[in-house]
Amino acid sequence: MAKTILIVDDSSSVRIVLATTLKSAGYNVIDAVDGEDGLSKLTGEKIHLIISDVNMPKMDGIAMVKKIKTMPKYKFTPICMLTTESEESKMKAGKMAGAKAWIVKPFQPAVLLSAVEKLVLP
Amino acid sequence: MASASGDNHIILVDDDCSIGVAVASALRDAGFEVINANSPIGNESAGAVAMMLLPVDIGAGKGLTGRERYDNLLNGEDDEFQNNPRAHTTIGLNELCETAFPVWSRQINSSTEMLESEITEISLSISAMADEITIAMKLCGDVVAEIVDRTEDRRDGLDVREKMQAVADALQTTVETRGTLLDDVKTLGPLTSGLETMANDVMEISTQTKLLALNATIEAARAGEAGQGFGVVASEVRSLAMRSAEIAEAMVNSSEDIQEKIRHTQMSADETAEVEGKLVETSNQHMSSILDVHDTTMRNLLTALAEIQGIDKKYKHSVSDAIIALQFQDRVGQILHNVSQSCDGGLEVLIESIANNTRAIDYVPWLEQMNARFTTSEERQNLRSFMGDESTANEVVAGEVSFL
Repeated sequence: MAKTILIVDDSSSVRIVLATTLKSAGYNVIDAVDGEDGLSKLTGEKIHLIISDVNMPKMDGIAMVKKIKTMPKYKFTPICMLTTESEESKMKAGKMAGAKAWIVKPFQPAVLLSAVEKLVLP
Repeated sequence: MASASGDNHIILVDDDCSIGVAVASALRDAGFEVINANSPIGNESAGAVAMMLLPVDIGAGKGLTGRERYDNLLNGEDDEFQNNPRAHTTIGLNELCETAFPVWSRQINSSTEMLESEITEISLSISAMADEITIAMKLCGDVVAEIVDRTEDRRDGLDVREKMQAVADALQTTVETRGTLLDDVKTLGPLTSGLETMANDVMEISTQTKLLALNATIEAARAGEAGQGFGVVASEVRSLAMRSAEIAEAMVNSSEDIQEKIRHTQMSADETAEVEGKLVETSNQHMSSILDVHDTTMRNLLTALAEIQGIDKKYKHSVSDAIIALQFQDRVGQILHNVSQSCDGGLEVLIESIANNTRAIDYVPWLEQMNARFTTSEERQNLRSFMGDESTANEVVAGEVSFL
């Protein structure tokens, strides 16, 4: 049974290349365009990993992570931030919110998949 | 002195060359035609213009528009300009800000949208191509591997060469077995010859026995009544001799028949052996050709498989490179978005300053807001470089994974 990963990014091109990379490794992919949209996709189905951008309209990635951590069904779902944000202070904010990993774009497919393999729920 | 006309023309007047060049460049970027002049006087031939930028704070507080002030200047009716030529004015600056900044912002936004739209299309195409190529490469690899596997017949542990050699060996064994059988048949010839000799001997004995029986009969007749019994025996012996002669003759005839058949069999066997020998030779040649074709095919298949694997590796590398490259749109879009927001913020600051008629713009909060919007290392590095700051900030390296 393929594992499901939710990707949240306001850039359509990033969503496409991210989905292509993950699907090539056999994962199911659900995508969302911002934090609000990301929360709306958490409808009870098991999500094995969430990969989210930080700077997005409506609701940014850090705010979305904080919300997810209050949801009983998803509070233990690992979250990886994938962002252009390279400042360490922002990464620390992500850690405080509950993110498990931080990757600064652009990602290398092999490196991302290696990280996903480590993070994804069994 | 330049001359032109039209609603999008601006006469730019400044005796400071460096300022004039910078402002003219910005105006042209915003879509205006710019006429440079080092004095407000003498541009009467410029015709209709939308705006004039002057290096003198002239006309301020008089409730005049930029064009009216420009007209006053051209007509020599404004003494303040004449008396204070080094003071800078904000005449037309509000019109410039209200026009140029929004235009810049819109152009940046439309460029960002176009960039994202096109990169999205490219991403979709590359994604689709990647999927199709992945399927095609897998199919090619599977087909070639299956052919190689079947040709080698690895499941039985025997390859085609071994199987064909087994067929050739079986054919050769059949020929050899037939040869052995023929040799055995050849040995029957001398045996039947011996049999014939023996039959001739029997016939000779029979002849002599007949003579002996004849003599005995004669002697029995001569003995008269006393020899009658002996005469009967002699008669029987003669009958047996004749019978022996008949059998011996039959044996000779049979032996000749057998020899004739053996000779015929031998001739047929020789002919068959010759045909089979040629057949074996031809079969070996054909099998050798087939095996050569098989070996060539195998080599070609293995080469093709290696090439497919090599192409697959290169293709995956290329797709990986494309995926990395396409993500720069996100970085560029982020930077342009921040520039657009900074333009909007700058416009607000400038308009507020003009409205308040302030000579000094409070740009520090605007710069702080601009800096706070930075997300990429390039933006921060550009700022530090501009400020002459050679220090390096604590930045997370792009592409690396930081587990938190």
